Amino acid sequence: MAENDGETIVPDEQCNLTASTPMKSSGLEQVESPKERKTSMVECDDEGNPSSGTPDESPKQLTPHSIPPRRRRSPRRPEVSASRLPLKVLNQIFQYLPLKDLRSAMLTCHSWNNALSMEDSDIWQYLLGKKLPEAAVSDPFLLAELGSAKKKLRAWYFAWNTSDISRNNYIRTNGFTVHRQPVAQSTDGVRGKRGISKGVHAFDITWDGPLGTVAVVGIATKHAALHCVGYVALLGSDDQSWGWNLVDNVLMHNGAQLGVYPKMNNPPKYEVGDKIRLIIDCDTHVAYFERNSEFLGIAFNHIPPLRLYPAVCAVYGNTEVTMVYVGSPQMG
Amino acid sequence: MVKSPKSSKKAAARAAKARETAETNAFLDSIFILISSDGEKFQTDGHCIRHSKVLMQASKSLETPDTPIQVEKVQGDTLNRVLEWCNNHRDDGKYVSQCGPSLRLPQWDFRWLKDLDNQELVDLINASNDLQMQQLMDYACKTVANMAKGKNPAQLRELFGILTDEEEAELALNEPGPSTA
Repeated sequence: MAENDGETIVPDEQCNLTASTPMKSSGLEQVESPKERKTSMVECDDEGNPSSGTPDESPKQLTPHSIPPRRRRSPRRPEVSASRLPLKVLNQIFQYLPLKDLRSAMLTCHSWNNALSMEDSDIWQYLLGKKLPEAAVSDPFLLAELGSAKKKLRAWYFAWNTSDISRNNYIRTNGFTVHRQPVAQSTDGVRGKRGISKGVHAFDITWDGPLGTVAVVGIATKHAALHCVGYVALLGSDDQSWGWNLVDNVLMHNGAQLGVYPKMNNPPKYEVGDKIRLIIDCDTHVAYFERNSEFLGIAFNHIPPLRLYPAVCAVYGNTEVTMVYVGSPQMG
Repeated sequence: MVKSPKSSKKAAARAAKARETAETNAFLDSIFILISSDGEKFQTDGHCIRHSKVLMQASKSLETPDTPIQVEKVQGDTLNRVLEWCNNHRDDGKYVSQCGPSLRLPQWDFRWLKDLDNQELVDLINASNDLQMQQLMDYACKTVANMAKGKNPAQLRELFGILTDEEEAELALNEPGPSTA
């Protein structure tokens, strides 16, 4: 009698665990249920794990009702426990890996992600020293707003593109500043290395040196032109780019002026050296600017879902523009 | 008369150095008994245990020269491998750890570490961490990094036996009591 009671209790628990098990009210039928489950267990043994001598019962109870591909293997606590190595050891392993493999490691499990989330650890310091030019690392002001080695490394991957630039521009040795050479009757632009198509991104842009008659900051697709003859507000002159001309505070897109920005009477002129933050919100398809941390209003909306690059175009000889990627802006 | 203090100081320094050298040589030739966490006994000498800071400290604080050293955190199999590695490096000079991917493995270490399976390699890394063996730690971690290069997250999980979150949750359902993960 006691044994029979034990047998009847176990099936009830199993029924509770798996909702798909049909409920049977008859006592005689309940007696039959364990036999059916044993049969399915045997089948699972054959299909999933023929080499295992004594599989645990409880994983097998779930197996018949789970997704078919998973029937071949029940998760077992693995013998190799690389995910539980001490932090010091993980850091030592990761310092030998290149950046691409670090990304894979971050996605592998929580403890590896935690180890790599310490943005000033030796791993990121080493890569920072290796990837960034010495002129950028030693400049106390250039990357001052980025608080960690990892963020500085990320900014490097978004900096001006040395191979996507007008021939009259060149990137200075710090890698973040574009210099326009004194060439007459020419408008010259540059694009960032990496475009964005998802999320919210902020770029800090600083214009050093005079603006001349045209000084446009904005965004461009891969196909926007970066050079033309004459002194033209090139960014915003076609449907591939959007620009804000700092000289007359006019927004431009597809050759049309969209009005003065900021939208007020007599908006203040750009002061050379002011920090402009370009913010692109790909999810709501808008772009806007802040100047010295002051929000200036929406500049462009209904931006198509394309891959967009930060860009500037300039006409004044020896003028320089610095762009530093800062990631997601602080929402305030 | 003028030179006698210098000569006496030099003589004293020379004597002290000779004594130190004799002590070092005596230590290197000393025999030590190690007992692993599962009770296995191993006999080794100073040439081997000098690679481990923990074992060096333990050997200096023995009650008598015959007292065995208890290695609480390392299993017998792993300790055997550690001593095999130490034995192969018994004649090495002082090791200076260099930072970053420029580390290159010696040929013997490369092949020896490559032949270990993943469980053995992870155990060896944990042992070298517990025993503070910088050279073995560097070589073993470099080996793991070499295994991990070029792999995507799914391949890394398969290689190192790491469960996904879903698999962890499924295991937690079946394990008795709270999960130890």
